[in-house]
Amino acid sequence: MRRESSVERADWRERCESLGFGFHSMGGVYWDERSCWRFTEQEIDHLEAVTETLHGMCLAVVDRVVQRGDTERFGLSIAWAERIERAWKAREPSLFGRFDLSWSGSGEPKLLEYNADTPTSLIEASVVQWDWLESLHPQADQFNSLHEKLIARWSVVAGQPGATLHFACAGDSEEDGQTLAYLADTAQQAGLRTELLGIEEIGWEGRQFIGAGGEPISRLFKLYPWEWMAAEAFGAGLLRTDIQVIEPSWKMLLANKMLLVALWEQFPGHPNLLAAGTMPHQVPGDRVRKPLLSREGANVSMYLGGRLHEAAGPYGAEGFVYQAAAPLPCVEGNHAVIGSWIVGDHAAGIGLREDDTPITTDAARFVPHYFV
Amino acid sequence: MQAMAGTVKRKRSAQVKRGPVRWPWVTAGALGVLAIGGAMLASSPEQPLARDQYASLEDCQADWGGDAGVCDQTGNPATSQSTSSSHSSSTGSSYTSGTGGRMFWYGPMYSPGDRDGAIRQAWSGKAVSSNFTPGNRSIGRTTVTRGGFGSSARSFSSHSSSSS
Repeated sequence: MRRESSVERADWRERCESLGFGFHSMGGVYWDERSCWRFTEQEIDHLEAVTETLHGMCLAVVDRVVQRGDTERFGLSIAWAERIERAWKAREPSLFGRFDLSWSGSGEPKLLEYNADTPTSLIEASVVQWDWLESLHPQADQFNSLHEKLIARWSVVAGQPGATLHFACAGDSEEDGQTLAYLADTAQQAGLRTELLGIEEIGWEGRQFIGAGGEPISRLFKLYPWEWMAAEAFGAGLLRTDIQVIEPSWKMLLANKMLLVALWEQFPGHPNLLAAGTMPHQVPGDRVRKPLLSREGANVSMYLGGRLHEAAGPYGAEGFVYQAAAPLPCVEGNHAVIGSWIVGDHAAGIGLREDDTPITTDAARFVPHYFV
Repeated sequence: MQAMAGTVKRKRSAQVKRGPVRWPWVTAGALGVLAIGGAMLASSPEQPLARDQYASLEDCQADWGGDAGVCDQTGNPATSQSTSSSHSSSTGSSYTSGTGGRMFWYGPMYSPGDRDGAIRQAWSGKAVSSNFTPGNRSIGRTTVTRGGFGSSARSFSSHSSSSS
């Protein structure tokens, strides 16, 4: 894999917006096609295999945690642990997730974290990146079957065509709102009826959740963290109703950074994992401290060669884990992380984000890729 | 995944299309919930709205004027319950329990303290007698509270997204 300079399309903004990707310039530059990443087919094959291997290991962790009742260190109450157990034993289906990997093309990709609950950078990795490929590299290929895999997966996750699915996220986030609209679009193309609303709009009628028009919500896709919903005023209602929530509640175990410790305990020395523990001495040398619950790199501290890199943020109250450092490949000051998507049980594509710092934050830029 | 000879392994063969779903999609009602003083109003649930529960469509229409769509048969058959008793929930609203499995009809939502006003409005423009008195054929009342989700997004507002 290598980073290449690329010429911006004159109309890239209009093309992005025509695809429903309006936050292309959030923070100044977000969608960045002044460069791209080129992979070989063998490299893509390897990423695909590693992604599905990691997915399988994560499911094995959930199974073991549920069997052992080992949920306390994930910060879960007994009531939530029971809900997770029910969801897991019922095999409530998952739609998707994104593994963040550190890899330079040599050695083995290393799992940095798993965005299992509310993964984004989706619309850009799917239709926007594909549009870029068709414009500039029509003879090449791209690891990207997100769009069609999402459409196919909806029938498994949400039932037969004609079923109604509510979609909710925080109502004031442009990024989340547009990502949600894209996902609802794929659900519509799968034949589902969709209702979109702000998470704040959801009503509670004492025995069921209610949509904006007064209709009951029986299936809810939420782009809003489980741990937030659980802690909020209506959280108890999620324990009392049979509402289907997507992602399912067992994903709470995988969205928690304690997963990294559990993976290392269950699969010690696995080539795609990094040593991880709950205490600093368990991970000697260069290491990263991560809050159990955080997003977009917030409150991550990295100790590299005696130097400390830190990202600010509001997280960390629930505690931290420690993970061996696996510095991202850096080209001309751009630290690139590979986000590798799983849809259902199948690897579905990648998206690369570049940051000016070794920690990938919400200021990272999305850079397209192709392979030959 | 093994490539098959003569096939393209990962390129899409179908046209990728985007449908009509676009952001912002937040409903007008939600905007009233969201934008107060430029900040999100989600730290605590709003005042609940009520709606009456009926055993039949005819009873509901008799109370609310009979327009098509005024009454709807919402409720999950698996969870719909009669109003034989009510309890206080931890979320601050009430819920009912009793015999399960029935489907009910529901009238429109209204402020709990102004049922008569809501019914008079529903009947406005219709031919009614001058001494019209709102009726009540309902068998129970449910309340809907909103705003019980979303407060964490505001607490973590230094980050623009609640996703990762």
